[in-house]
Amino acid sequence: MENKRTHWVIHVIFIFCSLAAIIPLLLVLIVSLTSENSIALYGYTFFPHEWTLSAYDYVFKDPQLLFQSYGNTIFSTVFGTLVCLCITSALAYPLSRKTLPFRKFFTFFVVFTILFNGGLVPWYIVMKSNLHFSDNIWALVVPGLLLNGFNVLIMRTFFKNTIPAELIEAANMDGAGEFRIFAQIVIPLSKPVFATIGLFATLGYWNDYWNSMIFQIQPKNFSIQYVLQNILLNLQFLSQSRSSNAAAATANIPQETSRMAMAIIAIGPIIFAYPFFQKFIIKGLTIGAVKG
Amino acid sequence: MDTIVKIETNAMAVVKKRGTWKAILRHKVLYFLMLPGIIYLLINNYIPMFGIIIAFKNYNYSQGIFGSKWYGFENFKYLFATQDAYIMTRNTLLYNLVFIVVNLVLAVGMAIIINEVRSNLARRFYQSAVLLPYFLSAVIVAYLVYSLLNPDAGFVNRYLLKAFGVGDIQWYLEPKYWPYIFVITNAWKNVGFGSIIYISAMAGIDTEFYEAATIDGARKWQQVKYITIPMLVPTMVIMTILAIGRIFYSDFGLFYQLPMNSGTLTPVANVIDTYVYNSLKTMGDIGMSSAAGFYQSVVGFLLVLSTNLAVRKISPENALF
Amino acid sequence: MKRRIGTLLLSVSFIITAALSGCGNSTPSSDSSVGSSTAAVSSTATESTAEISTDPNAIDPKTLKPVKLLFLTMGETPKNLAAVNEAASKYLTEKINATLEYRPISWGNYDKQINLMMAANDKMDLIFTASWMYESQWVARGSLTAIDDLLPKYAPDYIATVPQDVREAGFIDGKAYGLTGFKEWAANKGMVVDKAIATKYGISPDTVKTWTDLTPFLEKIKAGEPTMVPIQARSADTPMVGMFDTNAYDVLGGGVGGLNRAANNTTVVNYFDQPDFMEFAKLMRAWFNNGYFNKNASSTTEMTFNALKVGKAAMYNQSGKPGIDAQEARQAGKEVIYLPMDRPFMTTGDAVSALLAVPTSATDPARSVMFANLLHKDKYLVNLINWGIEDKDYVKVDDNTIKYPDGMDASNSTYNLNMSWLMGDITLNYLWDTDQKDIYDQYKTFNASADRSKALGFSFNSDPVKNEVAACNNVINQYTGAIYTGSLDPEVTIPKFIAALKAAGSEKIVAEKQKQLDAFVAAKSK
Repeated sequence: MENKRTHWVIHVIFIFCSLAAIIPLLLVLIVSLTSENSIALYGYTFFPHEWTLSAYDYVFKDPQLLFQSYGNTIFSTVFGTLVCLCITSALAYPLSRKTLPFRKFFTFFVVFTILFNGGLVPWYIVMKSNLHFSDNIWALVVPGLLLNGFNVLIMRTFFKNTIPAELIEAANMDGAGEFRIFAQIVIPLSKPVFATIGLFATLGYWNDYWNSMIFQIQPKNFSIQYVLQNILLNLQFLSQSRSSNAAAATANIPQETSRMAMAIIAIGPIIFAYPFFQKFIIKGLTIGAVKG
Repeated sequence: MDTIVKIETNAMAVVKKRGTWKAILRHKVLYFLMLPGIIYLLINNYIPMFGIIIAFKNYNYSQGIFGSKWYGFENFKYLFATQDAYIMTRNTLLYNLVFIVVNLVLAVGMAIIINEVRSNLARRFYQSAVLLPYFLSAVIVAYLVYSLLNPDAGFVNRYLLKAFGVGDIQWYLEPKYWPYIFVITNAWKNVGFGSIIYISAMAGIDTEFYEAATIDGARKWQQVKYITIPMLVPTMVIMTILAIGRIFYSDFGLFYQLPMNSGTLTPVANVIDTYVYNSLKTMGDIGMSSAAGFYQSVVGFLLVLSTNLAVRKISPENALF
Repeated sequence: MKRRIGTLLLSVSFIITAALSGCGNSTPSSDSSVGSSTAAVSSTATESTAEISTDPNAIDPKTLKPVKLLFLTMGETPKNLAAVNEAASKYLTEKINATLEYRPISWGNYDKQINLMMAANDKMDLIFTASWMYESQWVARGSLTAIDDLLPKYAPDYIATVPQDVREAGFIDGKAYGLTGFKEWAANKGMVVDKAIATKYGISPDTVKTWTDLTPFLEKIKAGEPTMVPIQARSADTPMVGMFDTNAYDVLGGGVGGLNRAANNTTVVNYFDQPDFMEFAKLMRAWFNNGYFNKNASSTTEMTFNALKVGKAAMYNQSGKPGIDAQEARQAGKEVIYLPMDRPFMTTGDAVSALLAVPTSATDPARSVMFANLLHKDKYLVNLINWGIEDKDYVKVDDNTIKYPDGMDASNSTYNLNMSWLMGDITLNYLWDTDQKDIYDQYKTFNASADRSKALGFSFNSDPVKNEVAACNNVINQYTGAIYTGSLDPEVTIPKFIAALKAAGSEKIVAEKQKQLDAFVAAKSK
């Protein structure tokens, strides 16, 4: 029987957890709207002495660059995530089928890539010198992010434990081909895991600055995280620069508050995009995904 | 007699081989499905693995990888030679063991409890909220923690401790509090995200199980214990094995940024990744950093193999491979 | 996701793994000239230009093969970079038949990027390096070309403007690998003081000549200024660092082992273990106990000048050079004075703080040297690359002074590179209207008045003791922060520190530094 008290306890627990999560983020937001002098004098506080938008002004000082990099990132995220879902599920599904010959070998093949890594430079050489991913949008999509063993494994585990083998057998006996089974039976039943891996892939692409750092040369090809990171790095070093005009500039540039502003800018779109994924992940919980 | 047995064994072998070949052909569509992924992994992951050999070489650019002199295990020595090396290895291991256990329990717990929230809106709100800390970078988290523990103007020293009448604590000079700080911060940052996997796994559990159980008079807690958790076991096992595979890696950002450069915290904050970073900061030695990476990978790999073997003995269908 | 972290770490540790077989030593296909790292390169290059007259000033560009030069330094990519590269290419084609792609790489990524390009043998023609930017490592790993043969012929202006001992300071094992930038080559240490406070309490270079002279004034400031701490510090940046580094010791590149400046000999000692180190630490401890430091000194990462800006502190320590007071005044947003604590000191670290080197993957090392030489001679080129296009990115106030065009300032500048200090000869640059008029003369006086370290030109190669260096780095990281800020009792902490260093092999490092220094001195006196 439902226990009223348990439900209250659960709500209390979650309210506490939510506050623990939201309050720090709120602080970040408030600091990003505080003046740099105020921070230097009084530290971080929820009630700043001086509100200002100067941190955001500074970060957005080159709107064209920001828009370009947003565009790059949005494209690579959307396109990359879609392709990622396709090839990840295409690799994971066969691995979930008990009857597949050499299944153990291929699983090991995938798992090994999670555990061992050749290092940055040989990867760089293969991708850049040999495959010529350099200074174009594909360098943000393909290297490294398009597929990883971890996602494959999660999908495989889901397929294995959620799709009943009898279902597939029945379909087989009805004469359905493997591809049809995959597309018309398995995928519709796997919405939660597709949403999960879709979320992971989206986050991977959205947060990536690595590929930009290594492959891209012109700023117009950078991803948004890399642009933000550069703004911060250049600011830090500029403040130690010897040129008189540069130092004059940095004397008034908000450094710490810019950092917070960038965190907000980076998180913002995710907060908007996340409910979309959440719908598919949570919905299944009480309704139930698999019916006989 | 012998010849007949031999002919029979040969015949069986032929039948088996023909059987395997037939099975392959029967599943050929599945192999085609796997092909793009396999090719990608080959190119993106396997081909670059040649780099591992650098760990054993005294690398020189002009001589290239194969021309450089063989160095044996020289590049690995700094990982074992000193007391510091022992400490940082111990730290890495202990922290990861605690993280694995704590995060597993909390993530699964959170997934289960969130399922019990009746209001759809509340459920979605809570789940989104606990996910937020994951998106904050380690630097930001370090500053947030600093705003709490700052000896000068930090919230804890200024308000909390005063309220209890306790004197100022120099948080950044006292190693003894930091194991707790790291565990709590790590959980706060990662549990919300980790629970997603379990939530989606739970979504795949057939509701007929729950319906049947309710009809039989099982209480909520019993349903959790006998249906939910066992059905989550495969996912838990996989996640744990993978976590064990990364037991010698750490969240560099967490251990490097949180202590705010306070060297006094080193005995509790130094892990393999920060140790390597500090060691090589002035030297940029390729071979040595490659050796560290190799060391971490090998240990993780061996542990995964052994854990997988153990799991295979207990419940074969949950093993990784 | 997690693999990301793995690769991040490997790169942060500067992993460089080599190419696949087949990519090992092959030269990029961009140009037909040679690409190996031996002296054969320079001789072949000289052969190809042998038809030209022997007067380097009259090199006829038409006899040279066209070359694309890739020039890499740190910096933020300016908006108008493409236009500048184009103008520079046009100009250089006429001079040395080469085109230029100048590519600034963002700070923090520079060394990673260069290391990657070296390992992949990507073409690079001229790169920035320094004693603190892996010069000796890159040489040891065979990624820089020796250019001794090329310098006399193709870099006469460099040789004429940069004195010999400074040029030779950048040599590794007696060979030249790059062109040292003309700027300040020495440093002194001291304190930057809020001018208003200094005037109020009578602090000036006359009343404060050494660190201990400061103590009574700190007491006065503490008593008289309740909202201020006398000194703003953070663990990497406290007066103590200035006390032993440069003031008292040539730290020979840092880490364990240095030369006592006053003793003026070539005996390498572990300066952490010397009595004066303990004295300095005790002074810091006294200052800390008396409340002269900010309380969060050992954990804050805030820049020290920020405290002056908001009036939270009265002074902080800072390395000195010409124009330091004007520079810090701009940072702190108010007038300051500088208190130098000793005469300028020239060590390898300071003398080789900007070097333009020729990588082994350069298309034509001779051309790279020619280009670098132009940065020591050609006013038009230097100002073009540093400040952009006249009338677009800056306007001239008079012959030698420039300022932003109307409507432009530092925040929306179309060419905000600000790397003039690493680009050849700094004195060739136009002065900004915000610069001190005599700043270049100040540089020359400063450099001339500096004491030279006995180890000037010596660069320690840590390879033979790299395990000990790695271990000692970790020990230094652990103990020094608290010692430098006086947060812990030095009588207790320093012995622990020394013991840990010894366990990590510090004595071996000292012995190795001594060995290499003796060899260096012997070779020099020949």
